[in-house]
Amino acid sequence: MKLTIQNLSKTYPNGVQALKNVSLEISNGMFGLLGPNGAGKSTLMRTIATLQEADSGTIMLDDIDVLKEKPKVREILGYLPQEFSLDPKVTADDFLDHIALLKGLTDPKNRKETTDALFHQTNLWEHKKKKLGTFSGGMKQRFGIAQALINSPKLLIVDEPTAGLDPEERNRFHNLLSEIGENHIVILSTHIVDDVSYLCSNMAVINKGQLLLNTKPSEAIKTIKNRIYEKEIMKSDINIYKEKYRFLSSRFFSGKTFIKIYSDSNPGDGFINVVPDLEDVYFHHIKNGLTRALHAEEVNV
Amino acid sequence: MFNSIFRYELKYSLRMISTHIFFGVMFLFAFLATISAGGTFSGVNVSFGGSSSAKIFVNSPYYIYQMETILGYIGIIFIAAVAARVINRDYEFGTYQWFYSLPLKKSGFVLGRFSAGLLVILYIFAGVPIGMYFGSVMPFVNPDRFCPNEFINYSYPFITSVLPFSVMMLSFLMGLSLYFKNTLTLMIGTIIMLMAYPVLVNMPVGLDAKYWVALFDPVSLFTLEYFTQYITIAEKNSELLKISGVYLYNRMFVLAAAAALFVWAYRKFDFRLISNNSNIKIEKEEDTVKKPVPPAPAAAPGFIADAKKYFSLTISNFIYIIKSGPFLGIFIFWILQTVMNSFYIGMRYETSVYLVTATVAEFLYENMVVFVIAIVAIYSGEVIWRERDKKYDGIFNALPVTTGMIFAAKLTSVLVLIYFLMASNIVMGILIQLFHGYYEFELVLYFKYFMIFGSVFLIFIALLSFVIHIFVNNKYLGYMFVLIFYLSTMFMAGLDFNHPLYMYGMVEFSYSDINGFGYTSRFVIMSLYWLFFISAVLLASRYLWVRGNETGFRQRIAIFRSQINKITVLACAILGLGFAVLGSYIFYSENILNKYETNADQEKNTVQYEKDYKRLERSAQPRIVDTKVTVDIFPEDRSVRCSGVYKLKNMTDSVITKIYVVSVRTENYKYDFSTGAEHTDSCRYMHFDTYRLNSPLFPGDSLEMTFEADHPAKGLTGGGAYYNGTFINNFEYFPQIGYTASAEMEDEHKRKKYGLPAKERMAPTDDPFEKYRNYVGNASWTKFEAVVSTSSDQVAVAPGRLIGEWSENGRKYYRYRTDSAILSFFCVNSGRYEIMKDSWNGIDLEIYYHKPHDYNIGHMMKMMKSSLEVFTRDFGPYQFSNLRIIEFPYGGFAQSFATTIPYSENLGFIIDYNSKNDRGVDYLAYITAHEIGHQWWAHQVCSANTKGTTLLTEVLAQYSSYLVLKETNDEKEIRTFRKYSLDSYLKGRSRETKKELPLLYNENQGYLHYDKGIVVFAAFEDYIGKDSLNSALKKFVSDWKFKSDPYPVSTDILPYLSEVTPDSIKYILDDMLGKIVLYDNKALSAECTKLENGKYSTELTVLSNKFEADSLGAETKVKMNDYINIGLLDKDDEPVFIKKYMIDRDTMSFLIETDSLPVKAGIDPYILLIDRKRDDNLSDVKYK
Repeated sequence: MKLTIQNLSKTYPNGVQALKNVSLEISNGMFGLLGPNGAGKSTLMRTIATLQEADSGTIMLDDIDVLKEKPKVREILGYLPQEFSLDPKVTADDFLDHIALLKGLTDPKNRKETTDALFHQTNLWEHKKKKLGTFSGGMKQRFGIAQALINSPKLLIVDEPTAGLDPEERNRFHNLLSEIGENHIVILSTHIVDDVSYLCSNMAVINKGQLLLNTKPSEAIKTIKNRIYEKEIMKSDINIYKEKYRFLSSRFFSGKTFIKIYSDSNPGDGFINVVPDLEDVYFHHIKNGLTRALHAEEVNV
Repeated sequence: MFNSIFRYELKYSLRMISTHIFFGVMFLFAFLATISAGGTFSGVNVSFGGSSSAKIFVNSPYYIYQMETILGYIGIIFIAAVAARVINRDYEFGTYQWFYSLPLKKSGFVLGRFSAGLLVILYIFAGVPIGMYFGSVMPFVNPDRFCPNEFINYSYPFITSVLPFSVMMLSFLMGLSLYFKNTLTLMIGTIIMLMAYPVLVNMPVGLDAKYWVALFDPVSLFTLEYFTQYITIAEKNSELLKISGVYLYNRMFVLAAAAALFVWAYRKFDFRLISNNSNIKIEKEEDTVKKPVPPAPAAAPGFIADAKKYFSLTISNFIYIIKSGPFLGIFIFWILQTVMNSFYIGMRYETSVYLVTATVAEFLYENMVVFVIAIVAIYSGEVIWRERDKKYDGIFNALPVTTGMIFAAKLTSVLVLIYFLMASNIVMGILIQLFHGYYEFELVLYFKYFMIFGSVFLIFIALLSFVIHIFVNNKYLGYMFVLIFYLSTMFMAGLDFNHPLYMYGMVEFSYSDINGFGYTSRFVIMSLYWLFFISAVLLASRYLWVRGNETGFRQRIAIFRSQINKITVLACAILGLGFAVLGSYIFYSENILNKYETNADQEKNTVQYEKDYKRLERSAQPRIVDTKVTVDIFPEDRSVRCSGVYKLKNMTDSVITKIYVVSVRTENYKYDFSTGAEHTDSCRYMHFDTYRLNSPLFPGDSLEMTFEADHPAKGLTGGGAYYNGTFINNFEYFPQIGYTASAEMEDEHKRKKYGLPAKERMAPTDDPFEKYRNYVGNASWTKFEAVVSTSSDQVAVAPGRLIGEWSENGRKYYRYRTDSAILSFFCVNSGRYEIMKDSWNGIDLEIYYHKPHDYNIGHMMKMMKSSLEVFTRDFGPYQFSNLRIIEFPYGGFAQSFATTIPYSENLGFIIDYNSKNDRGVDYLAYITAHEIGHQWWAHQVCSANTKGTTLLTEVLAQYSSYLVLKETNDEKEIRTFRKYSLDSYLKGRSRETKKELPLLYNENQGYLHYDKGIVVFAAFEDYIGKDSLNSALKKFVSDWKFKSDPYPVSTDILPYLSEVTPDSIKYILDDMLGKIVLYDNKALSAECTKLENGKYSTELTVLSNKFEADSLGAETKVKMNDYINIGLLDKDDEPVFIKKYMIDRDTMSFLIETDSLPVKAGIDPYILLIDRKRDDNLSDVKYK
């Protein structure tokens, strides 16, 4: 199974251009979509999930034209939106059963087996008789994934699934996703870089609607090897560094301020070369992408 | 603290544009209501409550009071909005955590916000007096409708009505806001209260129970109506409402409720953060055994799977609806309300009816309307917004379910809801019948009534609501448009928009046990017409359905364009074509086959008619002296064909050269005159034709006029015949001779506007022209013969004796002839009837009744006999040899023609005597005797067409029935009857539109001739004595019966009455007939002691005042020299002592010795005299 996105663009009525000429190829396995808030991740996910139109471009899932043959896509789709609630008065069991039926599991016995298995898989078995209104954030999120998994979708789209989960729940969630990712296309959007580095075999970074990077996490890290430097600084000096270097990020640790920069060669000035991680890749591309975009505009003028 | 909160809140509210919009709406409402009541728009009829009398000034103290109260009630919705804003804002904006964590004191915070909210509400409501004021000074209003403006008239009701109401409602709604913490729920709750209120206060409880409804009416609208029901027009126009009695108690109740509610709301309010998570439990250890997901079964494709999905979706939506709080609230409220009101079904004069299915179904239908419309309108929106409201639309929309199916399932769930509600009606109906011991359930009728006919308009509301919500794609706007639609259907008729082509979803039906659902084709065609329309729109709107995140208008249009397919377009086209075809047919039927006229058109025609032809009113015309008619009734075709010959005689002193003929109902007519005549003029819109006779008609001469008048069914409009139970009369179906003033415009303000001269309703008693014309029309006493035919399974009836009967061409023919001359006033009836026959002293008696309605025909027959017995004894012989009653469908009246009395099926045939308590009135006897009384009072003595004419007909027919009731029923019932009559009279006069007149000069005014009539003649009977009074009436009949040269006028009866009235009480004749006299009688104290001889001595002090009122009720106190009953009563209200005393001072005391102990004592204890406060005539006796 292969999802091919070509030249996808989308501008909202309010003028925000959410997707700019995005092209991507995604095949079986976990695919991580990284980007800051408002980057266009959700727009891209919703468009693949048949919930949104594109202005131009195509999305093909093997030979299915996703933008035109929505009903066919929905037959093999599992989708967990970024934000959702559940009817608090309905029990988890009833609701999952209802969705399973709508997903085509019309045989009651078969449906029961499937939902039971999913409740086990998402660790909700104990709670399946409870009303959805009593669910905590993590339970709700796991229930969301359970419904998305009904009928083993060939294409699973999960939009920021770990937002608001505690570390333990996040772990559990990751395990669950990685199991599924073996045989299906799983697209996971997040702004948490670690999620991607733990889970995904492939990834893309988008910002302001543009695709900045499309690669494997390990390879992405390789590209910036030996180019990331770190230094402890005075907090008040941070702006000086931001101007002077290709600033990536700052962090505070035990009352001290550390900054990371990108540099092709050792900048000296007390900077120490550090082993890069995916977060550095991410910041590198976000900041870099921005300058590229600005540059492009200047050319246009 | 209070200050800063208060000021911040006020500033915030005043900065909100909605605050000023609310003010504007109130202003506009008041302004428009004022200018339209002030006669600005033609054809438009807007009135509020009971203040519609044209004599009450639009800016009178009473009108303003009422208007401010009504608009205050409508403004509840704004109070709710303010309350919600004051409370819920914090939750909805999420700022509650900030506010509630500030170091605020509860009292300052709550009081500050409450006071600011109240001030804002008062500002909004100030729009009402300001709008009314501006309306009243507009240059285009009719100045006759207004009096000089006084500031106090506007401010007084604002302080005494609007203010307490606002305080109470704000407290209540703030409390509710705190409870719901959700604006929408609060608004829906408020709208339901708004709608339920009128249903609740209009519960048809007995006269005495209304006091309690008035006392506890939170809105005070009913209280106001009840409290002012006997207030005269003069008082309404000039006096500020005196806050006393029940209105005062109600004010106290409202203020107490306000205080209690405020305390409740205050307590409810705390700074604790809301938390819905309190019931979350700590998760247990996860089970570590993980079962693998079973391999995905291939989703079962095909029809069966789709059907299952569809079914599951429908059920899930339906369950969503019926589990929701507001639904349960409305539903339970509706059921309770129905159960409560079911005890009063069909009750009149405290007597109930048998709960036949038709009656119960009609009751349920009327009772449900508000509730089910609310449910359907709300939930057809809720179900559309379900996934988005519950915020799982992301999940839902990505499911492999087609949009069409989602759409269809939602629609189906609302249909299921509608049929569920209808089925609830049926279940309730059967339970109500069971409870009241009625076991003849007509399940088929229930099914047709609710499942077929009653559900259609709800389906139209649901479909329209769907379309609106889909198009608008904004929940609040959607509801607003639905509400606007609902309101517009209510106002359109008032604004003179009535054409069925644009009255969406107006499909009406009516049911009668006799005629069934009648002509149902109109219902079917109108239903199909709107169904085609809304289905086409709905089908197209399915492609505007937002699935996903594309909510922009352009995107939706783009999606619509790309998705809509040929089949849909074709289907829409076919539906559109059907809509157009039916629309054309409806137009053809309404506008081409029939004449469609707006109210404004009709008004103009009437005006033109009067302007063109009024001058002919008093021209000499011949009178009908012989009538031979043929009437063919075709029940299946709904058509009637009339023809016949009138013998017209010149009874005047002038030579007649022209004859004027009016056809009221049809334009298919043909007239021929034996003298030959030329048709010289025709008034198109009134069918008023002028013929010049070829040879003039000299005094004393006669001619024959032959006529045909065809009444075919035209398209959707019938020609007058019903499938079963046709009832027609000669005024509408036969030509009438001469100009008829009854078609003229009555409303005096409109007359002025159209440039017509002021008009008296009737001519004075000495009018030389009208003295020679009776009030039935331009005819004299006429011989009468009729041949009536109908289909073979029916029987046709006309006045007179049946003298021939035959069959021809598969139809049945009957010939009737009256024994003696009758008024030119006859009916023809046809139907499938059972006939009960009997006779009394050689007079044949018949009752034609619908077979299942046989409950009381025995009693009815007995009453026919009693009436004949009493009337022949007291008034003189009956002029015919037969008398019959015929049941007819629909309606709520009985009408007395010579020998023949059509009697509505709703009026006594199903009365249930077992239900009657000892005070209930046997109104079957009352109506029967009244109509039979008319055989003397109209059909023997017929009065001239002058003021007071109904004294000799309706009033005496009322008295006749009173005589029968007195012989057949006990005294308690008679008292109830008088009590209701007095109540109706006093209410009637407070709503008079022109002027109240003394009974002797009344102008055919119902509340005078029926209600005051019975009160006055009951008093005569008591004061003068039955035998003396009846002997006078007997003499009057024998002197005046069948007189026409001239006809008797009301004053002609005075000498007869005077002759039998002792001189000492002669004043009552003048007081009660010639004036408008009222008393204010009151018992001040009553003390009783036991005497040594074992007797009881009661000292009673009473107060009595007597007033004379003018035509608008302005009263002048007059000197008293009157005899009034002083009475002591036992615990059953039976007299221990009763005697008339001369009352000549305001306050008088009496010492009365009785054998037994009295319980109550007072003056005029049984209310023989007209008294606006009838509750204080008696006082409890204090026993020492």
